[in-house]
Amino acid sequence: MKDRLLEALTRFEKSRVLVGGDLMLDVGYVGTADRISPEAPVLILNVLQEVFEPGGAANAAMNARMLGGDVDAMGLIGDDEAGDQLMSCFASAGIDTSLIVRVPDRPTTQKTRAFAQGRHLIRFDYEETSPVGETSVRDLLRKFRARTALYDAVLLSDYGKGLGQPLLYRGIMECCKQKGIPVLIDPKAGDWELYQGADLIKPNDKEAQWLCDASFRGDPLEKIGPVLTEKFGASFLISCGAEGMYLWERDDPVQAFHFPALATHVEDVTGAGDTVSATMTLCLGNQLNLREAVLLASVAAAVVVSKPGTAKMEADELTRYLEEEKVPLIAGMPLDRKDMKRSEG
Amino acid sequence: MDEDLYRVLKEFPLQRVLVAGDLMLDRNVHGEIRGVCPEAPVPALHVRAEVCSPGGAANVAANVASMGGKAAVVGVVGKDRAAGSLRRELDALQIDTKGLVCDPSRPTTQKTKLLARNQQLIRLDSEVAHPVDEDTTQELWEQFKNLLFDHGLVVLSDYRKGVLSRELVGRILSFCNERHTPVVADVKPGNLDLYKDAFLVSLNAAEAAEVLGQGAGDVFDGEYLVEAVGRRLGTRVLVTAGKEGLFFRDPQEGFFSVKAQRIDLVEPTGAGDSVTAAVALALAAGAKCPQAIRIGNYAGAYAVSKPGLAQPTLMDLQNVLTTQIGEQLRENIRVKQVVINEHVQDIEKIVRMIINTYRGKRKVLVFGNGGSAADAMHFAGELVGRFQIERRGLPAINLSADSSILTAVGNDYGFEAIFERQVEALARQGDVLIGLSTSGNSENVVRAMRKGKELGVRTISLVGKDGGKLRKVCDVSITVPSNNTPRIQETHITIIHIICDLLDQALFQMEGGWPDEG
Repeated sequence: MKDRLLEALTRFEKSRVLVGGDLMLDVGYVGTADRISPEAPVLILNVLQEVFEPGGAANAAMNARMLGGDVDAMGLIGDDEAGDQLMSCFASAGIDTSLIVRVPDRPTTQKTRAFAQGRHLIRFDYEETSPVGETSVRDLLRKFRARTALYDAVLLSDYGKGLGQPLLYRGIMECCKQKGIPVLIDPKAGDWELYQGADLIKPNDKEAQWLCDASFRGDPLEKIGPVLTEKFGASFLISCGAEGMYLWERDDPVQAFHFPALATHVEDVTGAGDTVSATMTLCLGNQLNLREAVLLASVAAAVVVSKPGTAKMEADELTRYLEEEKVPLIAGMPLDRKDMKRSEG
Repeated sequence: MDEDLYRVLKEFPLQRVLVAGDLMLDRNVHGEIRGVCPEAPVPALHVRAEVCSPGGAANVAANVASMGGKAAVVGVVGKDRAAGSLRRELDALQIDTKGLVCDPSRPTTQKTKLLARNQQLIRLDSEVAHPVDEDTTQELWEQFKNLLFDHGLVVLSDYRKGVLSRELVGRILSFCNERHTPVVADVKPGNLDLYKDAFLVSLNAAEAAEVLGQGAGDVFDGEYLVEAVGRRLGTRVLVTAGKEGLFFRDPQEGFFSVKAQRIDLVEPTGAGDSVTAAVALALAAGAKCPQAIRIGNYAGAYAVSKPGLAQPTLMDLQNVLTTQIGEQLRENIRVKQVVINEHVQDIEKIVRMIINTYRGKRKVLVFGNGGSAADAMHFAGELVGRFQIERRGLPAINLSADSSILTAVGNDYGFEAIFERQVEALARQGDVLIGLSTSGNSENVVRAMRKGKELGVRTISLVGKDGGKLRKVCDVSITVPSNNTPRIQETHITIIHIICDLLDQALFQMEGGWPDEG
């Protein structure tokens, strides 16, 4: 098992994946707050540093790139400063931006966080979440079709910012099906038709509830997992924070596998979901089976949450972790239905 | 005086003001709170709009431009998005930006306010405050020299962000003083002494208190603050004290202050910049300091009455002047409303006394000092001449007008005797004395009333404030409920007109009003 995983890691470098969806820029204003404004009873943050990081689908793309894969990012960004920032992040990471379309009528989705003495004070978001225009969607789809053959796997990361449209998702999935390319989806609670035809869907427990028909909402995961797997005809990986992850495979929707969280030290969980998605994408693009892939993704998640901020990690760190074998490497524990606890969402 | 202010305002569009100092960008990010962040227990604001405006020294320039003047700026910006925004905002106001010096090692000073429903949530400041380097200082100086020749006045706006170094300020002041170009400096406590040679130094009350080492608990005394800072600097000093007003000291001409306009305070942000700009424009337009400061007061009043940074236009300044006029009229009305509520019966009583006097074929003697002397003269004029209807003349004598008597009695018996003596000479039993005094304490009026009592005449007084002694010595007295002399006098003359009208009605428009002759 360990050898298979280590060997797969070495192949990440030779693979090429597409990471598309709602690209975002995370901006951090980092400083100290030791004054109150003379004009209003509010804190003044004295900004010492402005930090720019790709977020959303862009963070998943960065994760995949850090793990060694060749990455094409796909999505829309605005014709603005945040867009420039994001493009320069991609350029310096060596991510291909041929599938990024800049549009003048929407802002680049931007999440701005202010931190004082390391503490998060407030977040302010620039975004336009209405569905993007059909012209832009067709433009993206046309570009994707011309390059489909390049990819070993495709990840679509939906953050509900307007790019998640049936025309695009269905178009991409049809293309991939023809060529036998696995498609993973990091979903947002939403229109289930959007995700039909994917190979793996990876919601968190809350999102999983929303993907169900209303009559199942509130039911325990043990019940929801099989329902979702059958409904979407896709494998389901549901992440439950500290509890770990649960997997239902498309071919055997009744059997659930539990992957306990491996983290011994949690610093910041921000972006851990993107890390899991990116790792899964590279694994599935390198012929690992689903349970091996989830095991490696658990390792990646454990490494990434031990770092502050929206962290990423390199394949080397995973290699080291595996070699040190800090935890027993078990590719999922088959669960009896009655063992499974109700997720608290 | 207000005529003069209007004249100064008219000159504003011809003035050119060069503003040097700490340029800033104020960025207001408006949005709505969309719940709590998923990753931390903090609010998440969904941004709807961003509004950038010039701040700091740039706001002074924006105020100059808004009030119709031409402004140019000299200062430092970084190589960042804020610099672009600032340049755009200044261009839009047609402010000359040739003097912007770019220093890529510094951020453009920027204050970002996050607001939800106009409620400020937090402010994010991007700035460094260390002095700019030598090359940049040299470039600032070159720009300043080039721009100075076609500007009539300089404003140095020092927010202690490192642009106005000791060296640069020294060079600017000696250069300007050689050329007799006045410099108005808006300063912070730490750098105060750099500006000894400026024409005028302006700071706010909290800063002045800091200069003098006062703590938060010290009682505010604007005159003391401006005296102490003024003495220390040896030049003209203006202390802006929010709702207390503006306090000014000229080393030669002494102390001057104006009360703040009574205007609803919305947000004080930037009011100091508006005051500085207005004072600068007024001085450039040739106003004397007190005039300039009164205009500055109007500009500050406007700025605090609006949310965010608000720059008054020329027309806004004129409107604030008008608001002041309206305020006085309203005060006049308020005083008279109290008279309606409390003194109608007293007025009727006075009228009955005068009617009885006339029916008894007796006369009215009326007197007062200064404005009240004029009112007495006015009153007697209405009675002896006529008021609104055609009628016979009514016997009334004003005791305040005969210069021969007044000087003779005043000279020989003292000013306190001038009415007393006339009462002694003219009053007969059954006459009525009417004394006017806004304080109720004019000694000559009081003594005349006492003499009248001795002679058995009726005594009436119209007074103000607390009514003073007159209220106590007269048969009937109306105390106008105000401490403001002009409002008291205006109410006196209104009461006098009412008395005249009621006399006309009672004596000449009713059957048997005037007793048959004979």
